[in-house]
Amino acid sequence: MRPALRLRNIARIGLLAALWLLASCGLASPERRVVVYTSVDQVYAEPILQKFEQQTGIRVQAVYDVEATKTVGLAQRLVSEKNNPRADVFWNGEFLQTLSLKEQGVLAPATFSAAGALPANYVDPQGYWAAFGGRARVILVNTERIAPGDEPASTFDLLSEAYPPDTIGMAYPMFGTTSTEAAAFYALLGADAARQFYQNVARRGIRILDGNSVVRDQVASGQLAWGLTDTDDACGAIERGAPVKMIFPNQAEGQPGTLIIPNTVARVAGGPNPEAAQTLIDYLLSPEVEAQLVEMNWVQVPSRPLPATVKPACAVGSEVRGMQLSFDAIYQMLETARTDLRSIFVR
Amino acid sequence: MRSTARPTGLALRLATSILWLLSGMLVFGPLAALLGAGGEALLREPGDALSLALPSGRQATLLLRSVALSACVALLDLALGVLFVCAAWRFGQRLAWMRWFPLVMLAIPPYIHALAWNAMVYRLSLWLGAVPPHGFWMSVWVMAMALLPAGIGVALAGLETVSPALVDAARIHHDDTTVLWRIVVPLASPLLAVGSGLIFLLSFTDYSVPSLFGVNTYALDIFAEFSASHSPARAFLASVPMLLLIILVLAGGQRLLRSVAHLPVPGVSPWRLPPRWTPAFNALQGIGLIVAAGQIAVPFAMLLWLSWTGEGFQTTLQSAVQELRLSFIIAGAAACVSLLLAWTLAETRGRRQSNRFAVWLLFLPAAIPAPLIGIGLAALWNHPGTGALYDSALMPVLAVLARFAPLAMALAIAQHDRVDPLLWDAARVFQASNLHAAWRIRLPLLAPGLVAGASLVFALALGELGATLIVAPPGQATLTMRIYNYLHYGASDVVAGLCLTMALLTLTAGALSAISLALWRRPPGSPHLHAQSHDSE
Repeated sequence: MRPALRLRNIARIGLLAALWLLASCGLASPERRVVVYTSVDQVYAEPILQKFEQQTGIRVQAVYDVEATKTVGLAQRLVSEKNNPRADVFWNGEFLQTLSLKEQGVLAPATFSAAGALPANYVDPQGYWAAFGGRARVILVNTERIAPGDEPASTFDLLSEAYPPDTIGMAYPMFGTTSTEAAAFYALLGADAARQFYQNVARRGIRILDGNSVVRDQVASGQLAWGLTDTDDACGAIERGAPVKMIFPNQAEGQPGTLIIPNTVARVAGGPNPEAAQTLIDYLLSPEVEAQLVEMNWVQVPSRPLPATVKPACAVGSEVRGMQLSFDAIYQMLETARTDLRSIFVR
Repeated sequence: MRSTARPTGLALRLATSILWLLSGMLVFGPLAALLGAGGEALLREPGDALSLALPSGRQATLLLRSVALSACVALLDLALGVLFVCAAWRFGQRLAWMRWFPLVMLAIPPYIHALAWNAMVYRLSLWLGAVPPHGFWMSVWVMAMALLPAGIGVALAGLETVSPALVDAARIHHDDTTVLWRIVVPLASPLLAVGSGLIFLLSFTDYSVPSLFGVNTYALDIFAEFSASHSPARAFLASVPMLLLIILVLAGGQRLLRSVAHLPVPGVSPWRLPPRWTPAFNALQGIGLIVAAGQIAVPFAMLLWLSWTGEGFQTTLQSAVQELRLSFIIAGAAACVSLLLAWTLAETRGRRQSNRFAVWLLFLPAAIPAPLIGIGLAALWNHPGTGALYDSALMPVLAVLARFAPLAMALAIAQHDRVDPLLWDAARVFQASNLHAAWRIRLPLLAPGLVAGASLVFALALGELGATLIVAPPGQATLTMRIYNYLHYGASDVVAGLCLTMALLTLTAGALSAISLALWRRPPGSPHLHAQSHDSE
C-alpha cells in the first residue's frame, strides 16, 4: 500500500473515532428528548406518547415490554442500567415492579402535580411513584359453554365441583398480574391459608397457561369454559365479538373484592433528561390521558371521576369493589408467594 | 490424520488472531459478566448456590422431563428430515431447489406454530367429538413441527455431503434402500448427530410451547427463579445443569465428527440418478412428505386466514416498516459477522489441541436464558464511554451473535471435519499463495457449512426476543418484539400479517443467497471439480 493512501486511511479512521466519541458525549444531538420504558401494551401507549410529542415537541423514545418475557424484561433492564441509566421515565402497567425498583434504588423522587386529584394511596408518601387508571382481575366466561345463572362469581370457584377442572384456566401465578393477585391473597388470607388454596388449585388439575392473553384466547375460542384474566384482555375479547362475558369476582357480601391494578409512573434516578421526564410524568398523570386510556380500553377502573363525554370502549367498573389492601402489603408478600407457587405449579 | 493445511502468512495469522479475539469477546463477554456475578453469589452463600446449580427433587424431575422432551423432538425431526430428503431425491435435480423451501418456516417463532397447531387440533377434536390432546406428546409433536425446518436442514446438510462416487460404487452391488442405510446414513451420521444436538438445544431452551400444552420444563423454572429473585446470578447458577448438558451433547457430536472424514460434494444429491426405494420405504416417505406439508400448511393456512379476515396485509405491512427494516438489518449483520467468525474458527481448527476445548466453550451461551445474555451485555457495554454503541442498533446484533454465532461455528467445524484431510494437504502443496488458497480452495470447501450456519443465524435472529428486549435501542423495535406485543393485545390478524411478511422476506433472502452461492460456485476450479477429480484417483 502506498504511504499516502495509508495515511489517508489512518486519518479516516481517526475522524470516525472522533465522531463516535462526540456522539457518545451527547454533543451530536441537541434535540429535546425523553426515554420511556413501558410495560403498557404498545397499541395503547404509542398513541399517547405520539400525542405528547405533538403537544410538547419533545421526542419520545420508547422501549416496550412484552408478556412473553415473564416480567423479567424491562424491570431487569432498568436494574442492569442502574449505574449508567438510559431511561428517564418508567410507565408501568402495574405497581409491584415499581415498588421493587424503588427498593433497589433505581427510581428518584419526582413532583406529581396531579397528586391532588388522585386517591391518597395512589401517591407514594416519599414521592417515588404515582398511580392512576387501573385494570382489575376478572373472570372471563364463555357464554356458549356456561348457561346464564351458572357462572362462577368468585376466585374461590376454582375449587368448586360445579366446574370440571379441565374447563377452567389461569396463567402461571408466578408471573405477571396473576402473581400480583396471588400475593394479594397471601396478604389477605395469610401465607398458610393462601398456600393451601393454591395447592388445592394445583391438585384439582386446573389448566395453567402461559399468560393472561392465552387464557382469554382459550375462553374466547371455547377451549375453556372460564378463566381468570385482566379486564383489558377480557374487554379485547368482548370488543372482537367473542361469545364471552366479564365478571368481577368476589363482590358478594363478606367476600374480599377483586384486585385493582393501577398504572404507575416514576422517574428513573440519574436519567439523562430530567426536565423532559418531569414534563412526561405530568402529562401521563393528567385526566386527559386517563380518559383517553379508558376510551382505548387499557383502563377499566379509573382513579378519578371522568367527564361525561368520555365514552368507555368496555364496561367501566366504577362500582367495582376492590380489595382493601395497601400496595405495600401486597408487595411484602410477593417473594413468599412466588417462591411457594413456583414449587407448587412448576413440577 | 488431522488437517495440516494452515495459513502461514503473517497477515493472515494476524487477521485470524484478531477475529478469534473478537469471537471470544462477543461470545464470552456477556457470559464472563454473569460468571462474575455467579461466582460472587457462590462465595456469599455457597450452600444455596450449590443447591441451585445441582438440582434435586422437583428440579431434577423437571430437568429429566426437559431432556426427554427435547430428545424426542430431536429424534422425530431427524427421522422426518431424512424421510423428506429421501423423498425429495426422487424428483431429480430439476426440482431440487424446492427441497430447501421448508427452511423458510424457521423464521416463524415456535410459539406461532404452537398457536396454529393448538387451534387446528382443537377444531379437529370438536369435529371428531374427542377431547383435545394436551401434555407431553402433544408438546413433542408441536415443538417438532416448529423445529422441523431445522431437521430438514440438518438432513440435507448431512446426507448431501456424501460423495456420489461412493454411492455409485455401492449401487453396483446393492439396491438403493440398502445403500442408503449401509452407506449414506452411516457416512452422514456425525453431521446428523451434531445437527440433532442443535435441535435438542433449541427445544431445551424453549418453555413457551410446552407450557401451552401444560408441560412444565426446566427452562420455565429458571424464569420462575429469575422472576422471583430478580437475581441474574441465581438464574445463571440455575442454568448450570443446562450448560453441563450442552457440553455433553456437543462433546459427543465432536467426538463423532472426528471419527469420520471423507470427500464431500456439498449441496448436491449423492444419487446421480434418482434412487428407487422399496414400497415400504416409499410409504414411509409419503408419511414424511405429508407431515412436512402439514408443517407448512397448518401455520400458513392459519396466518393467511387471519390476515385475510383482518385489517389487511398492506396496512399491517405499512405499520411495521421500521421494525421490519431493523429486524432484517440486525439479522443480516449477525449472519455476515457469524459467517466471518465461523470461517476464522474453521480455518484455525485443529491448529492446537487447546482449540478443541475452546470450541466446546464457545457453545455455552446457547444454554443461557436469553434475558441473561442481554443483562451480561448491558453490564459490559453500558458505560459513559460506550454510550453511543449502547444506544445503537449494534447492541441487538451483539445479542444475537452472543446467542447464535456458536451455532454457525458448530456447523463450520462440522463441515471442516468432514473434508478429507488430503484435500487440505493438497491445497497447501499446490497453493499459489495463502490468500489464494484461503479464498479459492478452503473457503469453497467450507462454504456449505458456512452458508448453512449463516442462514441458521439469520432465521433465529429474526425470532430472537429475550436478549434483544434488554438491549434494543430506545425508540426502535424489532418485528418479533412487535409481534409479541400484538399477540398479548389479541390482534391475531396483525400478528398473522407480520409473521407472513417475515416468512416471505426470509424466502426472498434465502432465494437470493442460494442464487449468489450458485453463481459463486460456477467458475472452473470449484471444489466440485476438485472433488470429482479426487474421486477418480
